[in-house]
Amino acid sequence: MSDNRKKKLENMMDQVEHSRRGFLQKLLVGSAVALAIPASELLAEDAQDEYTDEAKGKGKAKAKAAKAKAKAKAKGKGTEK
Amino acid sequence: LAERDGAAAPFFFSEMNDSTTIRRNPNMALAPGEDGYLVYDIKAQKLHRLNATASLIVELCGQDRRKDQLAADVGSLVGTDGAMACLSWLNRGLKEGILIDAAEARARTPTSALEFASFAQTLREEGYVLGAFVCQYHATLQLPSEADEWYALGELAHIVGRREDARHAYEQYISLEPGDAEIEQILIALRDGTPPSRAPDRCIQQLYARFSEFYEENMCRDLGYQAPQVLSAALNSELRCKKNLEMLELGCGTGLAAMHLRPAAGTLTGIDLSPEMIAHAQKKGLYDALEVAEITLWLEKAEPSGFDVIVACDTLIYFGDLSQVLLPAARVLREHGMIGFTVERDISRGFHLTDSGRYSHSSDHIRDAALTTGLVVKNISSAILRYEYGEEVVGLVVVLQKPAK
Repeated sequence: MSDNRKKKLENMMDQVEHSRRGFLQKLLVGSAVALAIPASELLAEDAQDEYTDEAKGKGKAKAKAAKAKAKAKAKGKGTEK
Repeated sequence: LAERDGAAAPFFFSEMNDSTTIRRNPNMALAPGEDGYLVYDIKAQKLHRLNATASLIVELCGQDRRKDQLAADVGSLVGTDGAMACLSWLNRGLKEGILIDAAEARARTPTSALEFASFAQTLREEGYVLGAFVCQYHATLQLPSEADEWYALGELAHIVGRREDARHAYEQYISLEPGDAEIEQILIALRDGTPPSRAPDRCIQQLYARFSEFYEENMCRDLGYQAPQVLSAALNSELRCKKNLEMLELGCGTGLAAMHLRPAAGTLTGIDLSPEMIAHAQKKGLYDALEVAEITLWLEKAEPSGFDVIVACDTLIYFGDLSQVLLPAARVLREHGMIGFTVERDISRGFHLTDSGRYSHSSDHIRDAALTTGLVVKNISSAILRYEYGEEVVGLVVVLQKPAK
């Protein structure tokens, strides 16, 4: 990539949200000649039917809710049934 | 008409002077993917994968942008016909709702970080984990001081196989919530650190204090837990209809295995480190004695040669080298007594701490540990113990025997 293009890209990168800048920088700044043509794909139309069991792990069902409850209990805010 | 590589939609050259002002959809979550962003539109409930250049465009559209100007700017970095290719993708982004008219974007209420986090939980409960991960990632970066958000992100990153993201999220979580023994154990694995010889007691106690309330529902209904059935079948084929046996169950939990063990038992004693799990086991009324204790300490203090059968169903997954349990267990077994247990199968040699914080064991290690502790291998077979994140958890079902002197 020419110096002019590099500078242009760096200027654009300055406008990228800070927490994601590093990730995009890794992908884009190392581009040898030019950036790829922009492209995207739609991953799932109706995902709810496709991944039914993927969230179910040992001790993980309703994990966030259970964790919040345990935390509240630990802090004396919750009462058991 | 201009067309590029057959992939881009045709458009008129006059569009190169399209001064429409556009912006990123404010109801969309962003997260890094493999080679660009994953974006989830919570209104349309659509998940898109973007390459790096499209990701850059989406970032630049965090503020109002003139379509023709943006196409020209980014296009100049893409190369020959870059502006046309960018314009073509901008049209696609607009059609798919990734980008919208700036006026419309301003009219919409942006989704807040808390709404994204809540939506992530809903998606997760519905089983849509990748969309959940994207929403949780987006939310967590906006709520960096919320420990629970980092925790949720760590879990989702683990589920979708983003190991580095899981490690980072749990490290952030533990910095905000020090002393969480479960996550400390998981972090050892995620950092590829030297594993402890076994999961710390407080890790197991913390896990099951939380887990006990939904243990049976989670294991039996959600995860198709079969370990008690396959282990008792393996034991029964070795015991050959013997009855009235003195049985000890290590890590008895809520007592799921007891109903399978009880018919051959004269007495059945259950030991578990978790008082919450023991309380559930008590309600089943299948044990003659139940004790809250750490199993190796309990075995070391127990009378020698007191039991015909020792069972450990999914208990030794919290131990690395199995000799540390088999040695004291062998001491309390009678001659010809049997010990039956299940572990998660490791296809390499030895044993390993997995990213779940549990240990997996190879059949080689089990044979070595049996040899070290003077036990004879009667059975080692593979079986599906349960499911986790939609995948089979293959385990080893083991029966060892204490030989006569």
